Amino acid sequence: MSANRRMWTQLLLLVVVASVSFSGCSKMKRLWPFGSKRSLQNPDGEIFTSPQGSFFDPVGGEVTALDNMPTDYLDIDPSTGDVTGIPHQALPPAGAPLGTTSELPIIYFAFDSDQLTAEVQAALDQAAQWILNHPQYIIQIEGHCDERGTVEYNLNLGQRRADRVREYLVGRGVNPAILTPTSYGEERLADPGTTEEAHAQNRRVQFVVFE
Amino acid sequence: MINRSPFFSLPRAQSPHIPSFAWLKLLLCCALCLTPGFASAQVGQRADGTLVIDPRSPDDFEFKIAIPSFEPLTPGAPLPDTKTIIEGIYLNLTLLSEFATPTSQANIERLRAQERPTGKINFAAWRAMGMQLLLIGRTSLTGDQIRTTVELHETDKESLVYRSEYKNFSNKSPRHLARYIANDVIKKVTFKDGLALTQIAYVGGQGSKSWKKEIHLMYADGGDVRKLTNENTTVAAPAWGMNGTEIYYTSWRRNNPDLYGVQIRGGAPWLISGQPQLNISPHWSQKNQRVVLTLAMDGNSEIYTMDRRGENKQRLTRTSAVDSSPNWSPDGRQIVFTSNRGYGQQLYIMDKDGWGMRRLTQMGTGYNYNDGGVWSPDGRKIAFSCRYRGRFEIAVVNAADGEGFQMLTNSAGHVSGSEGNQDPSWSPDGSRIVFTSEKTGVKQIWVMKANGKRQYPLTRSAYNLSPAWGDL
Repeated sequence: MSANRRMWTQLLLLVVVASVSFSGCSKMKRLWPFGSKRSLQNPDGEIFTSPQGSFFDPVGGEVTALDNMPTDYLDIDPSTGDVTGIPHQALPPAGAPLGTTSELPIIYFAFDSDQLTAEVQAALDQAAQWILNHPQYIIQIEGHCDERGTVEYNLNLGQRRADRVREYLVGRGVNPAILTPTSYGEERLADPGTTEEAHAQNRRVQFVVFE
Repeated sequence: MINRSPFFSLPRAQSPHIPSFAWLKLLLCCALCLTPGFASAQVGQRADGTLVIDPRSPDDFEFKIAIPSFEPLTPGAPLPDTKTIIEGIYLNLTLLSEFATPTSQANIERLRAQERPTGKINFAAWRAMGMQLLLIGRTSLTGDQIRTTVELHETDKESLVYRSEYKNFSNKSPRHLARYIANDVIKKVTFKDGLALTQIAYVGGQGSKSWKKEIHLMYADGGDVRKLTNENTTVAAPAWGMNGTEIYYTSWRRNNPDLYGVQIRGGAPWLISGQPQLNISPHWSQKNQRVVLTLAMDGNSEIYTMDRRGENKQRLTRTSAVDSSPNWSPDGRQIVFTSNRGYGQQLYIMDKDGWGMRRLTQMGTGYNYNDGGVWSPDGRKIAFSCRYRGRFEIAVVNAADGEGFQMLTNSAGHVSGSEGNQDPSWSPDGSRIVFTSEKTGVKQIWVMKANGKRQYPLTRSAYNLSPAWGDL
């Protein structure tokens, strides 16, 4: 059962990698197919525009200067308009987790930030090595936030934190199919206090190991 | 020619008690048109002392109603808890419609005790007390069943507004009988559907330390709370679903924020959307028969719509920014949502197919973080959570042009550590807003008038948030 599942996820990964490599590069410089005729009425002209060039806008609009896209944003494939990045393949594991391990330490973030500091990256390098050495596990990456901000904003922020960690680990060679990022927003606080120390404890990504 | 129109030949349907109100309404319309300063001095009463009853009355207008203790239907009959019934009627009237809080119930009881033996109502005395309306109730208790008759009198016209009988109400919740009576009073007096029988869905928990939460339902007066789900884990952000008989909500029961649906009468929840990563912030459009929600399966939060089985998925936004918190317009043609695609986190509006994007809220002094936009039922306003001086406040803007920014709450008096007020949700008639407030240091659900006045806490248990007002 488990081997079967792994086979399927690897097959899926293969298909995704193949499709990206076939379609990605050639189409990235193509203009948005709808052209400027159906471009949006932009209220103040600058809202969708970054300093480096034109930002992507929803469904309609023209995409130019993709080569100058800021690097901290995921690439956008203009043929579909989809954010490519690393698509999610794995659904979260069902059942009870095995638990946490000190080999996969809790990672902390700055206020309202999903950036990985150099210190965090070093810790993630170690974690990636441990995960590579234990390929039998599925690793849930839980993104958490402090309670400042709306519930929905924090769910999205937790998702971004988990995704940054996942992307970093995949960049270190971990199979994306065994990583299941998820967000808890401000729903599961490590420290329910309202001090700055409590908030800092809550802004975290923690790993939970599943069979 | 014109006289052949069926509209002219039809007799006008009139009940014997309503004409006085119809006449007053007509007169008020004229008065409003002709006299600019009308509203200032005589709120609710004209110079000749007659009562003004009109839904378009000024914001701070309040009816004064006297409700003496209910009397026995037959002498010596056992009575239900009449104090709870009367308090429940007052609570619903003051909380959910434009009625004044009673100042002296003792005076009301004394006057009623004086006039009762005479068998007549001393309207002049009630008028002298400032009362425009008088509700006289008679009740009896047989086993578990409450039977009640009420009469509503208008003191100025010295006339009966309505008389009604309420049978087969269970003594387990006298408050529920109070809701029915209050709702009828509101309907007869304001000509609007009352809110007393509407319900609010929300997330309730054991405190911020516990991550186990459940979706709860309560009536709009905060009473008769019941637990709807049995998730035994974290849940978030309920929304009312199809026909107002379903609730859609996010649960982590599979260790991921997935979207589920459940009938409000109970039963097993079904999975609506179980994509990897977020399946959050649902909102249902009865016109389109579709849920709009936030999914993050593309590696980034985007707005999708789907039907209530999670099928026929359609993606509406395609940016590398975070797009979240969508909410349908009442006509189902547009969606307001939150995005950080520009500078700050602002509200945007798009057509239901993702076209026609425009920004609604502007970066202003002190606020660059807006979230949770909700359309008013008449489609004119959008209320949202707006961060101002480090705390959230409920604010509104015009849906048409983003103008008319108005902050409805002020959390300056909250305890330190409070996050202020957030998560607004409109009542079905648009006259009230329910929201989450941390005024006391704990998240609780509060209700206020749509102009921000008369804020009142509906919940007082450990920890409650994310209210959604249903129109059932």
